[in-house]
Amino acid sequence: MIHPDDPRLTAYVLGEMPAAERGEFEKILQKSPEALQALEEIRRTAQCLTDELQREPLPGLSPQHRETIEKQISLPPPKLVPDTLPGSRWVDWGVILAMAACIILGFHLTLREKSGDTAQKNKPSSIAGAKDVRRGVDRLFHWNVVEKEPSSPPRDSAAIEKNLQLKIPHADPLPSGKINGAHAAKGSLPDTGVDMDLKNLKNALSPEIKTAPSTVKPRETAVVLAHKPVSATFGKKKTAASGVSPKKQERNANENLANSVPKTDPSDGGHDPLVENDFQTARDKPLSTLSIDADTSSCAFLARFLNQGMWPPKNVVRIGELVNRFARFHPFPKGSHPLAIRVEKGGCLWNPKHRLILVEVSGRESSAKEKPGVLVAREVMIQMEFNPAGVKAYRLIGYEKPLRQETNPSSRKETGTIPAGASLLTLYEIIPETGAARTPDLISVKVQYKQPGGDKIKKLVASPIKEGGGNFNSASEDFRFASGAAAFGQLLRDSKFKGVITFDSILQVAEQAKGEDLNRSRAAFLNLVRAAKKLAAQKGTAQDPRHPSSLP
Amino acid sequence: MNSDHSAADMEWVREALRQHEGPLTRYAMSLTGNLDLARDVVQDTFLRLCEADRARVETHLAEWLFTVCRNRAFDLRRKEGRMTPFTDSMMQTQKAGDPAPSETAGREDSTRQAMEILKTLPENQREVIRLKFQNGLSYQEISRITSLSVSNVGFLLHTALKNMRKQMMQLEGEMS
Repeated sequence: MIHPDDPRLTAYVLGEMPAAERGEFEKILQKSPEALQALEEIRRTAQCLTDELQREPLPGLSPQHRETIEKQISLPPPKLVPDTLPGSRWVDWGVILAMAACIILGFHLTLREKSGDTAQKNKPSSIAGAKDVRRGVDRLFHWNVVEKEPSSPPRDSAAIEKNLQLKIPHADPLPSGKINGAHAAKGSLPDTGVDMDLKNLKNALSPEIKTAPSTVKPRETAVVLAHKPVSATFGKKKTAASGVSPKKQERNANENLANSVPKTDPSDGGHDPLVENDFQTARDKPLSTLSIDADTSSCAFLARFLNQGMWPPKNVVRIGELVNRFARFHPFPKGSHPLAIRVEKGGCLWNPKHRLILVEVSGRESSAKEKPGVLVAREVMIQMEFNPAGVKAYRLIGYEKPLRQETNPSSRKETGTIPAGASLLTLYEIIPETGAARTPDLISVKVQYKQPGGDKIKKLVASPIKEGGGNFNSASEDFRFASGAAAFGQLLRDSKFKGVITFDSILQVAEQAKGEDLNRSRAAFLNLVRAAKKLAAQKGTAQDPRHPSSLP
Repeated sequence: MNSDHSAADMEWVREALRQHEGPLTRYAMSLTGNLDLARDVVQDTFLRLCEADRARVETHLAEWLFTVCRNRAFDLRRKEGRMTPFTDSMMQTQKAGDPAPSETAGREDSTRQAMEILKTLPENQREVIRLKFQNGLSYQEISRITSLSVSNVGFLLHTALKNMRKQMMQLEGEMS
């Protein structure tokens, strides 16, 4: 038994318990409901304190004080005074930075936020395959990641910690044409490759709109105002959930396509070219904060170009969308928390010296008692913190930004909604630190969100990601497939990061990593790569980005 | 070990200043309760850093700075006869006023109460809480900075958190 007054509980929560003791402690912990309760309370209190203390202003010195110090710095060598500490010794900076994550329970523990949720009990038992189909159907979501600057540049481990607190989203969503992507459950693709079926946004979103009007409506309005929405479905069959006749869907789809084109057409001179995110040094910019609000619609346009034998303009190639469009998500872990984080690391397909980190944030499936498609989280923000002692530089893959990004802080929009059963994949390419002083801790991931109908900010913390993981070939199928999709996008964009990759090698990777392709979206991807390969072979005639609406 | 105080070598002090100036001043302010005094303390700390042997300090820079800063703050308090107990008054002043609605919108009530409750804790508990949660220092480092044993640091933090949450629950009870 562990008494709630046992200081080891706090040490455990704060990551201060030696690894050797942890296993045994966790075993006893499981048998002490009282201690578990105390643990949770400690975690919450510590989080509160961290949040609040980090908000305190950092006053700094006056110019006069700084001048005095600068004079001393510039002085010729003074006499040596003894160190005031008992002696120098090696400090494990990894520990300090790990502390920056502050409250780290085991991954499994952090995921179990007790919120009175009964979903776990009610969770329908379904075979993994059926789940995957559901995931395909339910992916009616927008992913449009806005990378955000921390309010002030973090200046040391303490400041990093300060910035770890996730902020309420305030950045404007990118003008990338918000479109919904919906999968068909069992789409069978024609031999020619990818066939586009487009259907109305409202139809696609209807389950959410009907069941959660208070949270969805404002958001939907914002989307419609900002961009003409259209949703894209790969494959021919419509989801049963839309409840609209195929003909009507088609008609809506065509109307929407026509409407949407001016907004998303890359040849539109009014739009800035979207540029890829560059590498950031972890030392200068340890935080990468993402407000999630993505979509996979550009894939439909991309496919259209390729299938019409045209080389796609750069703005049509949105790598983040490609990665998500063809992803197959993992079953949601057990637990009552509405969101889960999964992280995988492995070799980088296009640059053998680099590593790739995959972060998947997924929403719990609706339980039997809940109506299907109910949104599980909104205003979702992901924050990655890169440890400069383990990561030299990192790059967010995809989510290209316009050159001139409009910033209008007054127009804060609600972004980042994760519907039930949906997931977002984010990839980071990292250049590992190779110096002798490197530490194995690479990244901490935090996710902040609100639940529908509530204004409380909830947080989810994944245990720090450590160095390791195998090479590219030993990574999971999903990791490899996502890598292939990213590499494909980079090659199409002629990205400076494309590295050593060819359409053939992408085809090979994707073939091998295809796995069980229940909704044949991955087969569709392979067709796209083949089409691009063919086009590339006859390039020169292919680079004629005609207006998509003028296509037959 | 002798250190070479070439211009390039002293660049590390500037870097240390850039990184630690803010957190140290904030910490010193929590010890002295006065911004001017806090700044003097931090200035002294960096002046000492200029004279310190880089090789001996650099591996545990943050700990070194916090230790010197703390010692200087206590020296100063003794010298000036300022036996002012630890106070968060400066912090309070800065936090006064209504925060912007967007800031409060999603804040949990309990978070907002945390700082108020923190003020009621004994000074040694408050100090370890700041070192831990505000500056991200480890038990080991806090132990060296405060000259307390590691287990004592752990005990103080555990007790402080327990006190905090007891009061937070009480407040929540009163409010509902």
